[in-house]
Amino acid sequence: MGFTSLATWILTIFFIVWAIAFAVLFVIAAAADIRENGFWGLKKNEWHAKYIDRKESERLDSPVDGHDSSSDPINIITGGSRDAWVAKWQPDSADLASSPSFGLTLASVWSAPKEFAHPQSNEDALAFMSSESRAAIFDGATESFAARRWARLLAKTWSVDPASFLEAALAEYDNHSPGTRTGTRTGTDTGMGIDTELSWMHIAAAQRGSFATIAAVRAVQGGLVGTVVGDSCIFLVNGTHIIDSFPYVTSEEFTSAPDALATSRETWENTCIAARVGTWNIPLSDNTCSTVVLATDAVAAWLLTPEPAIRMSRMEQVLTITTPAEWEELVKYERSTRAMHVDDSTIMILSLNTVNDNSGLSS
Amino acid sequence: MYSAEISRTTPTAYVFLVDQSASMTEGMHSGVTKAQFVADVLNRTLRDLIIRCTREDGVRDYFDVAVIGYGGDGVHNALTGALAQEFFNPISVVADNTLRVEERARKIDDGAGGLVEQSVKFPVWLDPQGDGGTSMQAAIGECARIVAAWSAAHRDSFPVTVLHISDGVTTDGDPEHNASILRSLSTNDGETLLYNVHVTGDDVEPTRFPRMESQLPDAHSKSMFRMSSTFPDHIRAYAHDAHGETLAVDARAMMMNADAERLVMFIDIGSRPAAMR
Repeated sequence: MGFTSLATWILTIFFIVWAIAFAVLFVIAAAADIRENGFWGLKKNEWHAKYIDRKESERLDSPVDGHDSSSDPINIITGGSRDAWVAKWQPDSADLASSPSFGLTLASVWSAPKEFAHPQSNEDALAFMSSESRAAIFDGATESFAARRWARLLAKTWSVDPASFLEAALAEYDNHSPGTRTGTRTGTDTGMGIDTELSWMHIAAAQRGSFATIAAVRAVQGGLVGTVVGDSCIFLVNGTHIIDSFPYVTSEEFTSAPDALATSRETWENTCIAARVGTWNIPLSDNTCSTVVLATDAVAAWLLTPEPAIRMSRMEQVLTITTPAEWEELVKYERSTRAMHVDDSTIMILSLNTVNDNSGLSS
Repeated sequence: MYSAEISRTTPTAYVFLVDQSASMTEGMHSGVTKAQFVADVLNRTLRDLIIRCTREDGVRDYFDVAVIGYGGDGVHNALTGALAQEFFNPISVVADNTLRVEERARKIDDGAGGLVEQSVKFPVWLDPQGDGGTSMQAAIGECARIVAAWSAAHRDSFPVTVLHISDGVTTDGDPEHNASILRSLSTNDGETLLYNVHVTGDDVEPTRFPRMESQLPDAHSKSMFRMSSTFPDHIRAYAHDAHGETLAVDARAMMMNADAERLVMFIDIGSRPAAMR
């Protein structure tokens, strides 16, 4: 074999190896893309990994207004209307021309407190604005100073003006916190507007602040937009089948230290509890999805069990609940088997409809 | 196991087992005595536990707390006043019964790129103390006695967490057998967790979460290694999520010659038994 022939063989072998490597990499990349975007064409996980600043609360935009039924064990805000808002995301214009508009209607809401002996300990809150087809669920973190009040405030201000709800909630939180004196920086306060007449533990706990997660969804022409901070979750459901969920897709992803909306700027800046805002753009066609579900973490983790059959069975159970007593019974049972964590357990079930025109009427 | 949620109906318990022997009066590299260092860390830890339980409407009893000292007075309840009646006290009672509340200064950001000094309230339950021998064997035995009673009365609770702080030089015999008994005491949710902090004035490399005895320099620290629990999965997850610490499955709940910052981190990991509800 001459030198030329040997070189030809080497080049041929090199080319074959290169081609095989290229093919393998192509298959891996394609599989990753399918896993990321799914066969349903759902584009997700567009995380903005940054700290939330109070001035950047417009990142959490969604609109509406309504009323606060503050005497309820759980905060539910409904009704109202408001002029159009500008969505920050729109489907591609080519898709938009042929895509339907969608609307959300409230099918049911169920909530059970972490301790049935203390119903007022329920620190979850909800907001639903039917005229603008948007809804949000809030989970006040138990290990914070005024979680129930903070979650309710967020729900209330989100319903009034989602473009500035966080700033509004912070202002009202400061104004109505026992012992706080917003704006005063006298020689006797702590430097954070908190009265030194309070006990040392109240001062320290108030300075540490309160925390809450949010999962919000709104219908737009061509699909849905989801917004999440923390481990409250959004589910897309067709029948009883969970098509997809956000921000987590399995119970194993829930962590001990979720992101949260905090009342303390110092906390955001100095501790690990910094919030990332996740947005989920969901282009939809007719019949892709029949139901949207929002759930706080205990219920979300329970629904996202790794076993597909159990997952479907649990969603079917949830969708067939008709009374608060049935929900409490289900939650008690699942807690007793340790399938569901003992925590406030709240779920909001929304029907997804196509809308005929701009009047807001659903078909 | 180790998954019980903490609530007012199913609280968990912490026992702080504190060496108050004469050797604790020796100085550390930081310039303070071991006893002062331990007292500061313990007071700060109690303060942090109380803050975690404080809500607008008061302090919720998610925890029962005991502080056992051992030294010249033998094995005793290291808390005083109303807290001296029983070893275990609900956290709200601990909150209401400080020795005193000191004003201490800390520096905070002034919002303009500088630092300003701010006065903060620092509650004190325990003063530095150090005399007599190191009756570690007896102390762990007494600890096991009260943990056994608590565990029997709280079968559905997350098990007791014991944080033991010592310079490791025992004078009343080998404590490892009693430590083994202590770790075996359980609720329905798992066995007692024993965390050991070895403080030393020696010029040795700090060690945290060792996996092998060979990582430790002397017989005292090796003994504390053998007495230490391994970490439940969720605590390893918390250490990673909150502190960026990757703990091996066989890592021991032990720290040696840690500075205050690392020690507070260690105790924070140790005092996160499960989700507080």
